[in-house]
Amino acid sequence: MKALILKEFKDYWSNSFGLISVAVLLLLAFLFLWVFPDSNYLSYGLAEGDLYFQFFSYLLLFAVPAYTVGFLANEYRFGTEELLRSLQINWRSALLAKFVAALLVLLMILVLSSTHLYVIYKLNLNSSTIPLAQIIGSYVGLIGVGACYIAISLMVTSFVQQTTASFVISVFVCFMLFSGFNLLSDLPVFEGGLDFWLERLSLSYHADQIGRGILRLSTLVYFTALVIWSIWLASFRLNTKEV
Amino acid sequence: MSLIARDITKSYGVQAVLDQVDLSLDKGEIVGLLGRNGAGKSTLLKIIAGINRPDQGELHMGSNTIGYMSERNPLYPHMYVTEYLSWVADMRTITDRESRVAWAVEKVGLDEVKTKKINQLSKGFKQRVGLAATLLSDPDIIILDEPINGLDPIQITQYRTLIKSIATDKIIILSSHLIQEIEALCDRVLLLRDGKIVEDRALQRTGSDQNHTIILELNDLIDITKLESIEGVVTVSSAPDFTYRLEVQSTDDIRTDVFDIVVEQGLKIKEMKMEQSSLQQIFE
Amino acid sequence: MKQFSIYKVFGSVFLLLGVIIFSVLVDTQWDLTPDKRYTLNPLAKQIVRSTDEPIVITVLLEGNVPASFRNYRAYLDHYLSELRRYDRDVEIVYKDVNKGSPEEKLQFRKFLASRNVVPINRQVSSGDQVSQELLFPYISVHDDDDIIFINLLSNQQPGQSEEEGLVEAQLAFEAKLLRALRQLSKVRKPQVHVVGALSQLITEGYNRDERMSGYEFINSDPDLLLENKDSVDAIISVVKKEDLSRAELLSIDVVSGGDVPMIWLVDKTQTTIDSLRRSGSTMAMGSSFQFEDYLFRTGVRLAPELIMDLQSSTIPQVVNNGSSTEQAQMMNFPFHPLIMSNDLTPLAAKLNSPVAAYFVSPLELLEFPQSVMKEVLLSTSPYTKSIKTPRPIDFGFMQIRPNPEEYQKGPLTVGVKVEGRVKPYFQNRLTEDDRSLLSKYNIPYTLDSQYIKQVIISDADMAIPPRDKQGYFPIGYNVLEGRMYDANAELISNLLESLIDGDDILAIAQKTTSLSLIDKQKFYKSQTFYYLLLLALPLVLLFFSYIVYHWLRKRKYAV
Repeated sequence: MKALILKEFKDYWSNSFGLISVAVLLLLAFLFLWVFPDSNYLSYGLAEGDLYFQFFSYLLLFAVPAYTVGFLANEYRFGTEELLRSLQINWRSALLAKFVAALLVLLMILVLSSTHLYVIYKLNLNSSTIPLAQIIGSYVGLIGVGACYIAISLMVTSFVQQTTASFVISVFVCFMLFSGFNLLSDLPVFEGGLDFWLERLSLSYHADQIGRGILRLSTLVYFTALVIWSIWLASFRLNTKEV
Repeated sequence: MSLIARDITKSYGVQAVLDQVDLSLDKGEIVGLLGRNGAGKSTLLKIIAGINRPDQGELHMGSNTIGYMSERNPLYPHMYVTEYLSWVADMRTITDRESRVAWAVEKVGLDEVKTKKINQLSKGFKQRVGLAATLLSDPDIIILDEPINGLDPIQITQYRTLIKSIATDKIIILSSHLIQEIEALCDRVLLLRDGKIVEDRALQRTGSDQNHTIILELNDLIDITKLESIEGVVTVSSAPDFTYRLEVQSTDDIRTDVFDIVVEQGLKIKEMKMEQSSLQQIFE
Repeated sequence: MKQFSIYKVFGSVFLLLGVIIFSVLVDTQWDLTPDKRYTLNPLAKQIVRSTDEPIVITVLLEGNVPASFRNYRAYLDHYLSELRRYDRDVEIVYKDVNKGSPEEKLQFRKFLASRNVVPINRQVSSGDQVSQELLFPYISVHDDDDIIFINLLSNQQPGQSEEEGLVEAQLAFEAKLLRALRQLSKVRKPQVHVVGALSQLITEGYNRDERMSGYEFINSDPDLLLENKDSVDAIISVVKKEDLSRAELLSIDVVSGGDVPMIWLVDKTQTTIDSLRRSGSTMAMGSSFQFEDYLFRTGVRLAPELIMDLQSSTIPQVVNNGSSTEQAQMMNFPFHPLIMSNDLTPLAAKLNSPVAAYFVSPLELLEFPQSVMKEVLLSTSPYTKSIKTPRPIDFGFMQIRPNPEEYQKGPLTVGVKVEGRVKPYFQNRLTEDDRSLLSKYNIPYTLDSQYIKQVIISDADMAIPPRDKQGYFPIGYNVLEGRMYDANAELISNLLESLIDGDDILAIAQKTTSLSLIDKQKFYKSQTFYYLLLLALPLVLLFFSYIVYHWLRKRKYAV
């Protein structure tokens, strides 16, 4: 398993595409959080991590499918799914390895961008203590959001093999999950009833909660269940598919 | 060590690809699977390799170490040769990884390109990398699906030598749609047509591309022993209409010798033609 | 080969939904913020539980909100949804006031205006368009009978940035909401009887004031007080210039002795800035009032002195700066101290500004009686002195720069809460008139001890809505400075709340937050450094690790 994970992780860094996309991601984060008007921390005014976490849950909505789709689509492209089979690797462990490797890429992005939080709390007008529990909780949440994106991208790619198509569809599915239910819950039809449930089915609700330092049981269950389901569906699909 | 398959059936949707295939292979054999494109060769090989499961039928193997190289020979293009082989070794949980990789590299003759990335290699070297990966775990059964596809003649010759050199005490199954290839390499040939094995015959190992048949039509009877005395002629069979069939095993063209003998006997040749091996006939 | 089955996929989707729904049903939250700002206070739960009618909370701060409002808005959403999660009888509605047909909008705005709900104008950018939008930073809380509007903003203090104001407002929100909910849960507003000088002016001023809207003020007299003895929730007695009449004192004694809390706002010396300005000098005279005797039995004495405090509000003074031109200049006037509240007592805590007071006498707290507990609520700054009265005062002292060494008397008490058992004041003193007044309402005079809960503040003017030739101003408006001191009204309303309902909501209002502003100055001062930290460092780390990784890989496999 370790070799499998490591291979996937190294795969990502094997060409400059991976490097450049992470660099662009970091640049975007910097521009949106500190330079572009209105979205930046200075106009927000508060020395709180929530803006960072919210922004990243949006950014990852595009970034995660962009790189995760390749983890599976390249196997089709190079025909190496046969290789995996002939190496007696079942799809479940292959998918788990890809999941973990994509999660490692995500962690790397988050570690590199953690200087934002450091600066935010250093610029706190009143105190320079960093609310560690809150930050760790928020990171757990952001990683959970990212994990959902990863699992969904893998699931979509198991059905749609072409890289670009599965990227577009992954982003669409992730977006629907992120905001779709939430937007639905704003419809007058659902007011005062279903809106409560629709909101809780949307990833953005959970992302928002955890970004502000509120960890919910339902959030943890939501993330875990969604990841397990997506990976299960992907492996179900791939196991029932001939190569 | 042997490999026995019984009643293997496989279909995709309504289309039957394999229809109750039985086969039995023994150690030391190089078996060629011959058939046209779409005859079910790859499917059969995948089933033997354990990649696909048959709809029905069973497989018995005296060993569970199988090396499989698929027709496309998929490789991770951005990996270095040794990096790739090391990874495969890891995945196969081979303990003495370094030495096995070094052995495989040497065995298949990858030394000159081993520091390169796979996407920088020629087709021939890529095939060797695939073969090296297949050999890493020293499998008892080696399955090669269309191994010479896309290779140039020199590469093909090298490849044949390579495969022959590893054949001892292993079962090697290779598929091809080229008769020459099978004849050149295999001890035995299985002909697959419409999902069935229609022919299973042994081949002589001495270079089957020397085999051919001369068909001779004369105006009268001839003493067969005269024909049999020609160097290279293995058997002669005759038909009532003064037609003779000479199975020849020789690199030389013996048609002039045949002409001389016939003239010497005072007979006339109505027609003389040379035919490819009998495998070809069956194949056609 | 297993078959891909669409039924299995549907089944799994239902299972997934089931798991999520179950988790929401048994949901629990861990608030990881250091100040637990997203956790419902036990008191909030108690108050929500005690409301038996369904409550609708309408958020008017909807639509496009400026960036600086975002955190507050999110906090609001979360808090309200937690409230709803706790009690399904609470409904949360979002209403965008800028949406709807023109007639609807107009009608709704008229309604809002009639409830003193006024919009603010803010620049909002969406995409690259910047527009001015009217924001209604309000929520309304209503049940079947009543609607209460809550201003989400606090009054911005001079020198305070909008962000700072928002942080403070966010902090104050919970208490405001709880107050409104508690008010809804009551059958009627608490009735506060105002007795004594200017009671009509005060009653009218207070009833008009949105900040005092939780109470109904009644311009009272001895008859009204005694007649409604059982429905009086609190008494405010203001003494200025004139002493209370015997009947007033008697009725106060009877009603407040019957466990009705009370606030005294009293002037010991009769001096005003008006008389001083009119004639240039005035005589600061200490009067001797009967109610002083009444207060004395609780162990509080009004000293016949006037406090001068270096921390004071200002008055315009004409200054001769040497040239021929004369200019009016705002100068500190030590007789008008600015009083800071004692943050440790919820009662007077978290006032948005200092309390502006006018000609204040110090309160002396005596050792006796031991049955009465005294708690200092308000005191001056430490830079004070006090002058004995009677004594003439003119503006002469203002020509000289005050010598700080003279102002060394330390903080002087100007507000105190007394609570405990005292002897009935009129015991053995009842006259025939007294008896007939009491018998009129069938009230026997109790001879046992009384339990009292009273606040005494040695300044009447701080609580009186000021007026000038143009008319009345709200309480806390400093006419001389033209500036509003919100704390004056907040103090009175806090005191009433504390005396009537207890300190619980005030304690919530007093909480602090770890929510803090960004130090923009610090950022701009070393912007390059921060840019390096935010962008260059991660990029350098990224490229460096990439290069090192590839170098290692090459060394391992390509040599």
